[in-house]
Amino acid sequence: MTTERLLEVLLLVCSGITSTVLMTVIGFACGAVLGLPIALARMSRSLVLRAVGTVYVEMFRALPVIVWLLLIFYGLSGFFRIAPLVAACIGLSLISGAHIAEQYRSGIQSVAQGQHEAAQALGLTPRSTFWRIIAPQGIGVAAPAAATFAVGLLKESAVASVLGVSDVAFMANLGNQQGYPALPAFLIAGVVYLALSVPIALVARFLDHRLRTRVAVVA
Amino acid sequence: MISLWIEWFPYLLGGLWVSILLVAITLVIGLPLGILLALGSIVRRRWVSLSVIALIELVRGIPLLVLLYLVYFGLPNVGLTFDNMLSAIIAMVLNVAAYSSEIFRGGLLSVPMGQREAAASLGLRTRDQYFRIIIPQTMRAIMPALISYTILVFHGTSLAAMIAVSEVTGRAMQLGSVGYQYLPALTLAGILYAVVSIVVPRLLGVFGDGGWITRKLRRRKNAQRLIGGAAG
Repeated sequence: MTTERLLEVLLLVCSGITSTVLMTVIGFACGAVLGLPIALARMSRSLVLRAVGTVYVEMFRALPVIVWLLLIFYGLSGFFRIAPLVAACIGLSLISGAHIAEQYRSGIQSVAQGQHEAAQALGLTPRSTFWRIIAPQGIGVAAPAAATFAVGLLKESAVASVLGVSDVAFMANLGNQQGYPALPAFLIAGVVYLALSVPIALVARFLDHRLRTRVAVVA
Repeated sequence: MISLWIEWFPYLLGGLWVSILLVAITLVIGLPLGILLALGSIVRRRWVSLSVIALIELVRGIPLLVLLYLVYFGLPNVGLTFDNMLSAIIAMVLNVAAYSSEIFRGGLLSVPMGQREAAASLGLRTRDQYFRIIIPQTMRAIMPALISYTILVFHGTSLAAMIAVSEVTGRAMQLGSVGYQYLPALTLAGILYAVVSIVVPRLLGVFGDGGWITRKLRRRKNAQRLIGGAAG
């Protein structure tokens, strides 16, 4: 195989990076926003809200990503024409909402009891205790886990190629179908995913490190 | 829709067995490899541990779907051709070995140094220190993580449909393609996945540490001790 052909495959596979990054960023951002009300619902005193939150989380975690994406794609396309990329973004956002909600919840629940008591002693209302004292600390605790989840989301987004989203995995598959040798095409795709995950992993590590040092200072 | 579901159910259930078989084979081969990789990543010889970690990170960095394509479409380029089920097993074993090694490593590092020192002071060989003292404690510590990981592996089998393994998702797509019935077919497949994913961990939790059976056994042991104490 000539170097020229190899370069062609490389360019083809790299042309999928935009879609992959777009899906990861939108999926994570929407999931991070959506996760908060779900986490609050799961910790609510109201039985109905708790049930809604639990059903949401269990439902989106109980099915494989590919099944959710296909269900959303075929489900929505029954009502109107929907681009695969849009369906994938909706699906990934809903799924990451469920995962990030659980991380928020465990972060918020890990905040020490003394923080509640101290806020109460200072005369803060329950509402401002939660929003000014507990939630900021809890979300800080959840941040490293959420960043690690973002790496997973990047790799899960490859599943969207099945819907026809022209992401990295899709482009490698296209190259294979167009007669380029499959092994280099998929190896390049693998390396591209690996390279994309490095900056996110570094952010996760930084957040984790900052969290640990902070905890150490407090203790 | 119900009549369609009744008609499809046996076929999809057959696909579920294929998925579960795939999980079983993958775990039986992949988990021991994961333990080996975990041990390799914490040995004191720097070049060994660094190259093992590099291998783990490389495999973990590749999405399972791409790994499946790589084995099924890519390896024939170098003369290694496997049928679709075997390709799925190979790709998933690689994936499971790399991911589970991280779980095992966390577990191994959670066993206190004193356990190792105590075992050494009792004169146990290195092999016995690992297999009789450290690994059993590791397994207990990581059981919950391993159970939830099993569900992720089960979900991973759905991707094998993309290399034409006839498991649940593949069969649902096949049924759905007849007369564009994708939505009802995938919904039934989703229900099957949900039932397994929600029920199985709870069933396994019964056997796990702190699960129902252990609690029962412990209670019985305590009761016997109390009775024994009273008699003595």
